[in-house]
Amino acid sequence: MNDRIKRIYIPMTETSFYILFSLQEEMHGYSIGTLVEEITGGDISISPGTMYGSLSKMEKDGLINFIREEENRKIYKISELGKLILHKEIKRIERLYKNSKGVNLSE
Amino acid sequence: MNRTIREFKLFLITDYEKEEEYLTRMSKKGYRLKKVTFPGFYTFEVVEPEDIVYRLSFKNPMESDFKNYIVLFQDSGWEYIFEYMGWSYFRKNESEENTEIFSNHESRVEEVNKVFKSRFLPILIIFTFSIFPSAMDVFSGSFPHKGYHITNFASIFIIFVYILYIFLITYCGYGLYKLRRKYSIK
Repeated sequence: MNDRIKRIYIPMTETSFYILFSLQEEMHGYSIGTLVEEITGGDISISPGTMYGSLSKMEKDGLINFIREEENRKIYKISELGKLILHKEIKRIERLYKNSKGVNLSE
Repeated sequence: MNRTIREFKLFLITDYEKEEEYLTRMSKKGYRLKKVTFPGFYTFEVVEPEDIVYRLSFKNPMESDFKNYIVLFQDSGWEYIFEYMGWSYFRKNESEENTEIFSNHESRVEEVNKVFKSRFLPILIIFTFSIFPSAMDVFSGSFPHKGYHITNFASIFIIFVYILYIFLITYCGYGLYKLRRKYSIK
């Protein structure tokens, strides 16, 4: 993994995280948005301009692959590089979570 | 067939948010956007006042994924009206959810950067390599090169274009700076 990709995506924004996370299954832009809204209880909604920009950037950086087009909707899926980055992010967030719960600073 | 009205408004490349506000304001007065004609004639259909939000996004219609782009917006509940000068015009009922086309500042900054690269940079390049040298020739007296009798008119024309470009560069340069500042993360 090159440094540029690491610098951009680790850590990544919540929006990027959820997009990449969703793309473990083949999906198109709008269905990603619906899924993200559903699993975040409506807290995160991704507008189409932002969704388009994120998908194009991730495709250019090789994190996701364009699979095929269905009725003018582009379907994407996470790539091997994308999986690697997602895994690193999940590890980082797990550590964050564990530390925030388990380490008592006053001791 | 509804009655239509026409208004002239000049919005430059960095005025897209002002244009959105203008169109939204017009819809509240009962004017529904029908078309835009160069350089800034807005044709509206006279309808009942409606609470509709207008949004503009910058996207080259010649790009192969333009159709995909529009469909993504339509899926999210936006009505695609038309494309004019590289801007796609969308509208949505104010009562519907999510009336923004960008959900974070990063993507808004990217939009500003796109406008900078494809609109502002060409103006700057034309000015630097063509208009500025020509105007300098006029100022320094080395234009006209030969005594054609139209050259006085040509000189005035060059100076006019020179001033127009300086205005454009200052106005849009400042506009881009303001937009960037508004949406920069820090």
